[in-house]
Amino acid sequence: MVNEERVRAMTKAAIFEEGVGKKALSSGEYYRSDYLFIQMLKSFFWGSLAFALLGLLLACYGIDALMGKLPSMNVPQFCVAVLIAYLLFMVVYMGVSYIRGYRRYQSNEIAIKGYEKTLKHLENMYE
Amino acid sequence: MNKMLERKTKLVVFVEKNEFLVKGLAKLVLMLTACLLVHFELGFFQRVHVIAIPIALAVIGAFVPMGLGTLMLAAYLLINLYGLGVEVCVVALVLLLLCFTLYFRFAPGRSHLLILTPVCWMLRIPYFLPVTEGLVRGAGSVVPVMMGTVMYYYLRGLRANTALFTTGTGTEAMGKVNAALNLIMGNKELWLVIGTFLLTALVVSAIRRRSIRNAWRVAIYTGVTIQTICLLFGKLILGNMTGIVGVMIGSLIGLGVDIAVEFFLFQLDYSRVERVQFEDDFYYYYVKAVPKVMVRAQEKKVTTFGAESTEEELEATKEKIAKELEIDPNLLK
Repeated sequence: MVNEERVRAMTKAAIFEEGVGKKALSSGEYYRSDYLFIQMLKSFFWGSLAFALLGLLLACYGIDALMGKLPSMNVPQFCVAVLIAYLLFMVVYMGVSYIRGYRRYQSNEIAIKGYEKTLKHLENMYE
Repeated sequence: MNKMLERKTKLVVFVEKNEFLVKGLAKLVLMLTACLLVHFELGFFQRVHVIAIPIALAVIGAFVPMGLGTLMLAAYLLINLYGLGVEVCVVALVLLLLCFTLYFRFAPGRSHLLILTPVCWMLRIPYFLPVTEGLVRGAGSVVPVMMGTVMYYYLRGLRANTALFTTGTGTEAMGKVNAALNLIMGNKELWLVIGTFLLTALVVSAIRRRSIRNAWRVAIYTGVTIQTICLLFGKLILGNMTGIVGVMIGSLIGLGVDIAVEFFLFQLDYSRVERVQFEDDFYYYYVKAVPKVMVRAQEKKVTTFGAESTEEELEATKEKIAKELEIDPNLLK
């Protein structure tokens, strides 16, 4: 005979695994510090790409003015200015990424705890 | 009002029961509108100027996740822009990559706004978007609306200046890139609109989170007013008086849409506010509870008169009555 309560618990667990749990369970394999490290690493590459693209757009837009100023430009000073801009951009970008990663890990932890509770309840029903 | 609330409840129940169908239809309509707009307004590449392609893309887009649909539409757009020149295509690609790296990497679920915003601009009804996003999702959700606005202004500029990009040789590639970028960087109206949208979303989001009476309604009126005033004054300062009437009409339409959004998502009955206080081991709580307005959809009751009951039904009724009265069923024969 089918145990209705068991079926309910199994369905709840299956819904979690197929939906929200797909991402939550994969993040649950890492410690928080490792998960955040991975997010920051990804953000480093994507952020650098975003800065490069922005720089490319701005350089193309101001190419005439840039070419005009090039002979009299202090190139080391210009490079330092670009580096400072890059660092500021990356600080903001990776800061946002860190906050989002932290909050996502927290909410995944809560979701996984609920899922484990369901599994425990299911296990008790089989004993 | 009760009738409207009943109809709203029925509609919500219908949508919940048929979520897959309704979502699919919504995606189909959005993708079809966007693809056909690209085909008719930006169909610069003759080899793909076949009506079957946008229709096929829209049908496929209805079944795949929205992110993938956005990617397909972006690819179709880039192919069409290639007809104007590789420089125009590359600038559009860089803009789309920037959209992904700066926002959609963090919130891929909002990619439909990148399609919806230019479509709303083409239909002249974009002004409800920042207010709606500020109400429903918060100020951060206005970023894809701003990105969609940049894309719209870029594409509109391309359409209006096609001759600039179709003439010239390869050595003028830098000139074409400069001209394409000038459609965004040198367009003061674009920056006015983006700044106004950001301000509107911030104000709406800030007011809506306050625990004041009718917070959503106050946020909507304030947001629409600020948005309209900023746009009108901005246009005055820029000396570009074209589209003033469009802004006012668009704002009124936006107001209507936002009030409809409030009706569906945030109906509260302030006449039955409850205030309670309680404490636990760590905090003392002061709670103000405002009940939602709920009207159950009336269920139709069918009463038959003069219908003859079968014997089985009569027996079942007698048994039921006997059980309730706790007497012998034979006494009722």
